[in-house]
Amino acid sequence: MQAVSSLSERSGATTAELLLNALVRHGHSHFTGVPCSLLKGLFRLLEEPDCPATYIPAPREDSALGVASGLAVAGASPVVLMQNSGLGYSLNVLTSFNLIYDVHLPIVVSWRGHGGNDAVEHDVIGRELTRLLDVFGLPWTVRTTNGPRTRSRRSSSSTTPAAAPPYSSSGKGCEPCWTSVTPSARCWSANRPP
Amino acid sequence: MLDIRDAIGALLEREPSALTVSTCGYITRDLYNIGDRANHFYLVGSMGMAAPIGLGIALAHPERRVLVLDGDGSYAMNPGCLPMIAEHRPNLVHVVLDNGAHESTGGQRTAALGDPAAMALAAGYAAAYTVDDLDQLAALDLTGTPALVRIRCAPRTHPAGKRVELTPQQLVSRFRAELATAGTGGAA
Repeated sequence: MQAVSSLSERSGATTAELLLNALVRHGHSHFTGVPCSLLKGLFRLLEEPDCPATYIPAPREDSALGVASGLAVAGASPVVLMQNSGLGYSLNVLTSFNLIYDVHLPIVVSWRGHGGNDAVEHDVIGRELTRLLDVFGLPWTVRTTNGPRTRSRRSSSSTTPAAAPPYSSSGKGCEPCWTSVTPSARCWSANRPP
Repeated sequence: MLDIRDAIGALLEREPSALTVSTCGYITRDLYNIGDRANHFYLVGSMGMAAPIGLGIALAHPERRVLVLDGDGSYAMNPGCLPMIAEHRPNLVHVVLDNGAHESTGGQRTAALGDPAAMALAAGYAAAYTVDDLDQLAALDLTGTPALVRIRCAPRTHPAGKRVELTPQQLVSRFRAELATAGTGGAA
């Protein structure tokens, strides 16, 4: 852990270094996900041989969430990284696993299409990202790299407070915006139809 | 071809202490009704995720054996996870209970599977087999992992057993308690 801790302490640490450092310091041991160009600094750090965390590249975002969920169930502390395009693939795992088993883990989601000024394939998911998260009661926080602007929303249906993302971001970097998502907790009824 | 309950029963007898993850639908219900144990982790949804979740459990507890029970439908949904699993060399046995149908939804035929054993080997699994009966299953060498075992099963003739009666949260709590107990030298 020392290698990464020292990174944030020197001036000029990148956003990726600050973020990884904060996550590792908060005990996150395993990282999985599918790369996004906005998160490339983070993935580059994870691929370094002396990275203090275990990195598990995944072929698709739902499989990344599956591996992370298994790790979390078994007592490890994973983080999932993905582009917002991968949230669509992930929704079934979020709704039929994380949200009903109450298995919580942070998901760092880059926000392609933020502000409507991106490649066309990101327009729709970029426009609807936070509404999509709200529909499923997924608490989110938006972090920007240009200053302290932060927006967040917790799930109104949560019966226990979702963990606040254990890090802050204000360093340099090319990322215009990224979102962290934490599956919310809620009671799951035992009274199901037969 | 085997009765799917006999296949599951033989696997439980062979791997009684394995951390066992079952795919949603009738396979979870069969496993639950054959024998409910604290080392079982039943999925009630997230079809296609039993193997990735099994990988996560195996990475967190490399000292334990993990047994994943997939169906042919759930396997077909996510063969992309095979190389990812193989890369980490987990102590994991990946079973595909293949009866050629989505029985939980009415028996529709599954999409083409190809040869799961050949695909697993190509993906980097240490071993992969296809078996048709209990003798072949019993004779398998499952020391090298990850290993895939495709078991050809007959369509079910038995009614679906009851649904899992524990809540998903209770399943997580019980499973974690099982891991903690084993970690302190308790039940293996």
